[in-house]
Amino acid sequence: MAAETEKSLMTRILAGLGLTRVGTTERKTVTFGDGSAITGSLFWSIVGIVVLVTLWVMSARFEWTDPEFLPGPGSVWEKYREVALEGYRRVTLGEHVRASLSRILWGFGYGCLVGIPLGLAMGLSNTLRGLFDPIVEFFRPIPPLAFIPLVIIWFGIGEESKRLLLFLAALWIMVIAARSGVLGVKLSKVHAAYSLGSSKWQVLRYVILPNALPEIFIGMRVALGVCWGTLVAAELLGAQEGLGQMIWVAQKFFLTEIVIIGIVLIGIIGVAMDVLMRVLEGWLIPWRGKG
Amino acid sequence: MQDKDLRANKVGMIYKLPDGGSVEALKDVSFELETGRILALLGPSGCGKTTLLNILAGFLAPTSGEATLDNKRIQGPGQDRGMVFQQGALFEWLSVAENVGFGLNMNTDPGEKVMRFLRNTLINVAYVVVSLIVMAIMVSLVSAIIVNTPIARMPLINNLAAVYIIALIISLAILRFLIPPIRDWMRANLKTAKEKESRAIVDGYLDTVGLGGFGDKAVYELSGGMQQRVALARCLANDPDVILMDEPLGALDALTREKMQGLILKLWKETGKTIILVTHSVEEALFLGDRLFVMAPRPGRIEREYDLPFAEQGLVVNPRELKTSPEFIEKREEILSLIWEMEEEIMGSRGEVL
Ligand SMILES: Nc1ncnc2c1ncn2[C@@H]1O[C@H](COP(=O)(O)OP(=O)(O)O)[C@@H](O)[C@H]1O
Ligand SMILES: [Mg+2]
Repeated sequence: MAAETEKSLMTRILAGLGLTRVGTTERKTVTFGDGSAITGSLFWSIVGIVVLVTLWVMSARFEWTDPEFLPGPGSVWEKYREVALEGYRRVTLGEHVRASLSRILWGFGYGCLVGIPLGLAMGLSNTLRGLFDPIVEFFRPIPPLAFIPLVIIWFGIGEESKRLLLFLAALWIMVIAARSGVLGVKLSKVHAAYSLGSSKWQVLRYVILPNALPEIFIGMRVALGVCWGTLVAAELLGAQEGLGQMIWVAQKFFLTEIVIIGIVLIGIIGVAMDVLMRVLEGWLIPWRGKG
Repeated sequence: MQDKDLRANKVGMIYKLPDGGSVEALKDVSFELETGRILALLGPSGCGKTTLLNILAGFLAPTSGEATLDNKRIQGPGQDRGMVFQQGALFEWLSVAENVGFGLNMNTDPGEKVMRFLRNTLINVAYVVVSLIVMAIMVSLVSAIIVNTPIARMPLINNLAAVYIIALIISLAILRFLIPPIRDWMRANLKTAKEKESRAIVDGYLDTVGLGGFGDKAVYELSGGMQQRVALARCLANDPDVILMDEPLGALDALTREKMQGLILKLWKETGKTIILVTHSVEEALFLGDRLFVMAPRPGRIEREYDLPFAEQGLVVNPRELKTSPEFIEKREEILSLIWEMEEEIMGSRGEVL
């Protein structure tokens, strides 16, 4: 009896680490090739990270690499304290992050504000679909960075240029997400609403919009990711503040520590934004995929 | 005339195909359906059943002829004709009760609209106020705690920002549990008179279809059979003159299907509605139809009409007994062979082409 509980406790610990299969999966005999039986092991995730960090520490400790190229964790941490508390070139890390985030929110926000109504309209009207389809389809595959030279010619290297680039990065994604959200509505739902006495406006408000919401939300997640990715390059266009700008400047002075700090922060913030969007999605759209 | 008869007068429908060809989905379909009868439409697939139903519902305009209800030409969808689809036509973003009450909420007068707008604004303001209070408390609490700990001397990105972010995350976690009860309380207690009235109607219809007490569930939490009951209730709540059903039980398992047949029969009798029901099951058509049209394809037309006693009998006799009675079996075999002949014709003509 005691051995059994002990065993189940052991099994539970192993299961928690992902080292043993649990639930119905443990009765599956075919797992190689069955994606649903592969859950990923927490244990091996930790091993992966530990090995990577150990390699980094050792290479710094035994000087396998030139510290100019790959500084050790110790010196990166020292630099981090310095930049966080005093700032780099008199701009603190917090101000860099704030500058980058405000650009993202501006570009992403206006991209949604313009893109979603435009996409909805394109899904609802022959005229607007015809009018905008070629334009959207033409601009969609062009990476926003290709517009940098044109944007510089038109707006210079000021704040507007960066925000415009981020806006363009978000715009097409949101237009297409909203359009396909409208086109994806099941005809029987629309028919049902009309039979129940809805006006066109009510069909839009009570059927088409909620039905398109899951796709619009996926579009927002993608757009936010693409904007974040475009940001570092957009901040190439000279700036006083911003994470991207910070690592570009640091690179010129061979401050590898600061470059690493910037990259890690960009990664962490990117993941955090995606997690936030996923939480919001589960909160606001519980019916997603249940149609 | 005061009757609400449904008539089709030489209705024809020709679909133009993109390649220049065309399909004659319906040709010269004429009939007259008296108020309060239940008509079953039966036929091989592709004989125009859905097309006919869509014309009667007003989703399609026929290429020739016309359909009338209450002597008025059908020109578009309307509340006098309700539709029950095979599956997936419920609004999964609304609760069961909101689905059933959907039609009732479409024709609200301006005064009611203003009332609801004010009420909703009040609720939203309440959310914002509660959220702000929780956040303010958390920010002061978190900063008060952090000031006296080593965290305050840690090189966080920006100590002030860190306080706000930590406080925000804690606030969100608290609000996650605080908001739903507030929302539920306000929704339950801040109803307009009209909303209370329509909720009572909705609950009545949910009882009728055997779903009393399921009103606040999400649609996707119900089984397929229960979802079709919701669809029936949603249609009934709108009080249409005619109910059109396109293979409403087609996606259900055999047992659920038999139960639902009984329910449809019961509702037909209790409400006295005119019903048209499309099915591809001969047994279902015989059991439910007090009139039955067998349709034939190419071009889609009514091949034969029956007046049947089984629907009336089904209300008093045990359905299992009825379906195994000699008269029922005889009719079933007759219609089955009729449909087999049609199928053979189709296959034969196809064989010639090949
Ligand atoms: N939108 C359409 N465009 C072209 N042909 C159609 C369309 N809808 C239906 N048809 C054709 O019309 C005929 C009748 O279709 P339908 O009414 O769906 O039949 P049923 O519901 O009896 O299976 C079929 O031959 C079908 O291919
Ligand atoms: Mg059909």
